[in-house]
Amino acid sequence: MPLVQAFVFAAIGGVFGVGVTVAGRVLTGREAWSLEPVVTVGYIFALLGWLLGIGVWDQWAREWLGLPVEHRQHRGWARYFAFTTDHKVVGVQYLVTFVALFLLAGLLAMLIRIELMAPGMTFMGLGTYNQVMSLHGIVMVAVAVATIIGGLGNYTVPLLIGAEDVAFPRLNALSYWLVPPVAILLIGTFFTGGLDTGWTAYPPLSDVNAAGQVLFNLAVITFGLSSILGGLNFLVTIATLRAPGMGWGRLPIFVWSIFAASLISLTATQFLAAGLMMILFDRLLGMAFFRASAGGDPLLYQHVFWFYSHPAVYIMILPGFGLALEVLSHFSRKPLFGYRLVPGGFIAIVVLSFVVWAHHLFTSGMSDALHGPFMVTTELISIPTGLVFLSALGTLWLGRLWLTTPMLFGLAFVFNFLIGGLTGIYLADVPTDIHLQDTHFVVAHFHYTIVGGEIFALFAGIYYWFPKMTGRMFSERWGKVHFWWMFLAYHTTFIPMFWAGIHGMNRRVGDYPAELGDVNLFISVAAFVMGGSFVVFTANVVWSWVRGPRAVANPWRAHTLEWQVASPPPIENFPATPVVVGSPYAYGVPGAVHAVLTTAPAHTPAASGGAQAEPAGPALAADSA
Amino acid sequence: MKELQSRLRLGWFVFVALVVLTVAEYYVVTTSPPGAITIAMLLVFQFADAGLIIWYFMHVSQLWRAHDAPQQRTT
Amino acid sequence: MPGWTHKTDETVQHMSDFVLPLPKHETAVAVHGAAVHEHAPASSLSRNRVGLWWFILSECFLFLAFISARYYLLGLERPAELNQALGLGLSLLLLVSSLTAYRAELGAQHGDRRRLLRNTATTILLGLVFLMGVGYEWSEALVHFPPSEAFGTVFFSLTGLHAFHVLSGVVLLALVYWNARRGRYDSGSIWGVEASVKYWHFVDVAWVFIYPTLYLVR
Ligand SMILES: [Cu+2]
Repeated sequence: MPLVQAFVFAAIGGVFGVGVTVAGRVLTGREAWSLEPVVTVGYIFALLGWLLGIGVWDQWAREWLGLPVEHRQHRGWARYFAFTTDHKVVGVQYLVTFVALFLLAGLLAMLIRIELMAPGMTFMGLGTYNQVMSLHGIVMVAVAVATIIGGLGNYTVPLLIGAEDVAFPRLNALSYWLVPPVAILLIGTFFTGGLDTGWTAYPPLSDVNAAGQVLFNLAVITFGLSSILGGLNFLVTIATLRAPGMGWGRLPIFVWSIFAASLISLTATQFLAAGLMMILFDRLLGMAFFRASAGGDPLLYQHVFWFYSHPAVYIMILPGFGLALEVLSHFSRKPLFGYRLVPGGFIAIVVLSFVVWAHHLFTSGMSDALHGPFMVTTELISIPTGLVFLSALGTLWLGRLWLTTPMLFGLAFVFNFLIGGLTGIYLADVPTDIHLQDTHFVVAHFHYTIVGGEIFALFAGIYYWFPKMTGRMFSERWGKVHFWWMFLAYHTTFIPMFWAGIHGMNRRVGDYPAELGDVNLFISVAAFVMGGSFVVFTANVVWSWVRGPRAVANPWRAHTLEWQVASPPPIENFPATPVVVGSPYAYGVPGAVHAVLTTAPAHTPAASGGAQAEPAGPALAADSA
Repeated sequence: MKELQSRLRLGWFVFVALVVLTVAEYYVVTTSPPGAITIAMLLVFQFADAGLIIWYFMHVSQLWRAHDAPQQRTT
Repeated sequence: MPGWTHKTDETVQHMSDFVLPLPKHETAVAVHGAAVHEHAPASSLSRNRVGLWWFILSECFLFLAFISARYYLLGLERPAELNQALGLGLSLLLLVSSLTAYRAELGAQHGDRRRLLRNTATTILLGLVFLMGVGYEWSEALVHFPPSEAFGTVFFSLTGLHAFHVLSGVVLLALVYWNARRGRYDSGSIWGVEASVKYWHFVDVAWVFIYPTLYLVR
C-alpha cells in the first residue's frame, strides 16, 4: 500500500526533522525544545518523506539516480488511494476530496449561524468563534480555488482538447497528494492553540498569536505549491496538447477559463507564499517585516497578501464563468454568443486583477493618494465582466432552452452573479466602502460572487459531467429538488445580510448589538434550511453513483469531444487522436462539424504535425451513409 | 565541430559583455549622485544583463522556434 | 466559422442521434476542410521546455515579492557598511558559473562527455564558493545590520532565498554529473542537462536583480 508507505516515510522524516532541530538548538546553546521551530522543520522533513513515500521516489528519484524504474499502475478502486497519473482519476480524487471539505466547512458555517442566532455569546466563547470562523474561511477558500480547477478541470480539459492526458501526469498526481498534508496541518491548529486571525492572517496578530498560526502558514504555503503546480500543468497542457485542428479559436470556453485562471495561480500564488513566509521569518528568525517597533510595517503584509488574494477571486470565478457559459450554450442549443470576445474578456480580467489589490486597504491607513487609482482600476473590471454577461444573455436569447438540472444551475449563476457584481460597486467605491468595510455587507457580497457564482457553477458542472465521470445518470427529479431548495434558501439567507451589514453588523465577531437579533435569527434559520439542500445533493449523487441507471455516451447530445467517447471514457480517452474541424458550439448550423473521431487502433501522437491527422476514410463513410 | 567552436566563442563574447556591464553598473552607481537618473541607468544595466543571459544562455527563442530544427544533439 | 445564429439545433428532435463516432449531421465534406493540419500536439521536449519556462516565471514572482518588500520598507536607503567588494565579487562569480554551465550544455549537445563533466564540475565548485561567500557576508552582516531590524530583514531573507536556490541548483548539477559519469547523456535525451543548466542561469538572472536591489540602489 503506497499510502501506508507514505505515512511511514512521513513519520521518519518528521522524527528526523525534530531531532535535527533539537540537536541544533542544543549545540548552539539554546533551550532544547521550542514548539514553533521544531514543528516547522519537522513538518518540512515529514512533507518530503510523505512525498517520497507516496510516489516521488518511485516516479522521479529512481529515474534521476539512474535506477531501474517500474511504473506500477493500480486498477479498480485502489487507484483512487494511490499515486495515479490518469487525469480522470486525479480529477475524481480532487472532486470527492473537495466536495467533502465543502460539506464539512458548511457544517462549520452552521455552527457560526447557531452562535449568531441571538446577541451575546450563547453557544461558544469568542475565542472558539474565531477559530470556527477562521477554519470555515480557509477551507472554503481552498474549496473555491481547487474544486472546479482541480476536479472538473483535471477530468475534462484533456478530454475537451482531445488529448490523452495532461502534459505532466506525474506532476498532476503530485499536486493532488500535496493536499492531505494541508488537511492534517489545519486539523493540527486545534491542538496548538488554534487559529484566530481569519483566513487572511493579518499581522500584527499573526506575528504574536499561538503556534497554530505557524501550522496554518505551513499548510497554506503547501496548498499554494499544489495550486502553482496545477496551474503550470494546465497552461502547458492547453498550450501544447490540443488535438490537430483545435486552434485557440476553437477551444471550448471552459478550457479558456481554466487557462486564464491558471495564469493567475501560477504567478500570484507566489505572493501568498511570500507573505506567509514573511510571517514565519518574523516568528521563527526574529525578523522585522511586520514589527513596526523594529522598522517593519504590518501594512506591507496587506499589500503582499492582496496582491495574491484579489486575483485569487478570479482563480475562483473565471472557471465559474467558463462553466456557466459552457452549460448555457449546450442547453440553449445555440452557438456561444460572442465566442471570440469572451477569451479576450478573460485575459483582460487576468491583467486587471493584478492592479486592483489595494481596494482592500481603503480603511487601512494606506496613502489617500492611492484611493482614486485603485477605485478606478477596480471598476474597470466591470467591462470585461460585462462582456461575459453579454455573452451569457446573447446565448440565451431566442435559444431553445432545455431546463435540465445543470442548466438550472447555469441560469442561476447568471442571476446570482449579477447581484454579487452590482453590490461589489459599493465596496469598490471609496465613500461607500468606508461605511461598509468589515460588515456583513461584505460577507453577503462575496458569498454572492463565490457561492452564488462559483459554487452554483460548480454544481452545474458536477451534474453536467456526472454521467461522463461515473457512467451513471443522476436522478433528474432530485437534482431539481436540490436546485430549487438551494436556490431559494440561498437568497433567503444572504439578501438580509446586506441589510444587516448596512445597519452595522460586523463581520468576524461573535457578538452584535441586540437590535440586530431578529434579522440574524431569520438568517440563521434560512441558513439551516440551505444546509439541508446539500443532504439532498449528497444522497442523490451517492445513490446514483452506486445504483443509478447506466449513462449513454452522450446524454446531452453535446458536440464537444468528451461526449463522443464512452461514459466513463477509456483510460487512453480516444481510440485515436481526434481531428478538430470546427467550432464546439455549432448548434443549429447546418453541416457544422466539431471534430472527427476515428476508431483506428490507438497510437502515440507523433511529434510532427500532419501525418497522423488524416482521418480514416471507411469509418466516416460508414457513418455518413 | 565548426559549429561547436563558434558557439563556444559566442559564450565568451556574452560572458565578457556581462562582466563589462556589471562592472560598469557598479562604477556608475557608486560615482554618480543618487537620483532618478541613477535609478534609470541601474534598470537599463539590470535588464541588459538579464536579457543577454535569457537570450544567449537560456535560448528563450527555442520557445517559438521549436519546430524549425532539432535542438538536441547535433553531432 | 459559423457566427451567431438565431437558428436552434434541429437535432434536439432526434433523441437517439448520438451515434459514434460522428453525430448524424456531420458530413464527409467538412472533414477535408482547410484547417485539419493547422497544428499537431507538441513533442515532449518542447512540452518540457514550455513547462520549465512557466515555472521560471512563477519563481520570478516569489523574488519580486521580496524585492518589493525591500522598497516598501526602506525606499532607496542602504547602509554604508555593505561590503561592496564582496558584492561585486559574488556577482562576477555567478557570471563565470553561467559561462561554464553554458559550456557544459554545449558538451552534452555535442556528445562530448569530458567537456560536459569538466564544466559541470566547475559550475558546482563555483556555486559552492558562492555559498561560502554568502556565509562570510552573513557573518559580517550580523554585526552591522542583524535580521531583527528592517534592512537586515530584507538582506537576510533575499540573500537566504537566493542561496537556497543556488543550493538546489548545485544539487541538480550534482545529479547531472552523476548521470553523465554513467554515460546517460551519451545517447538519448539530454533534457536533464538542459533543464538544470537553464535553472542555473535563472538563479543568475535572479541575482542580477537582487544585487543592485541590496547593494547599489540609493
Ligand atoms: Cu478584491
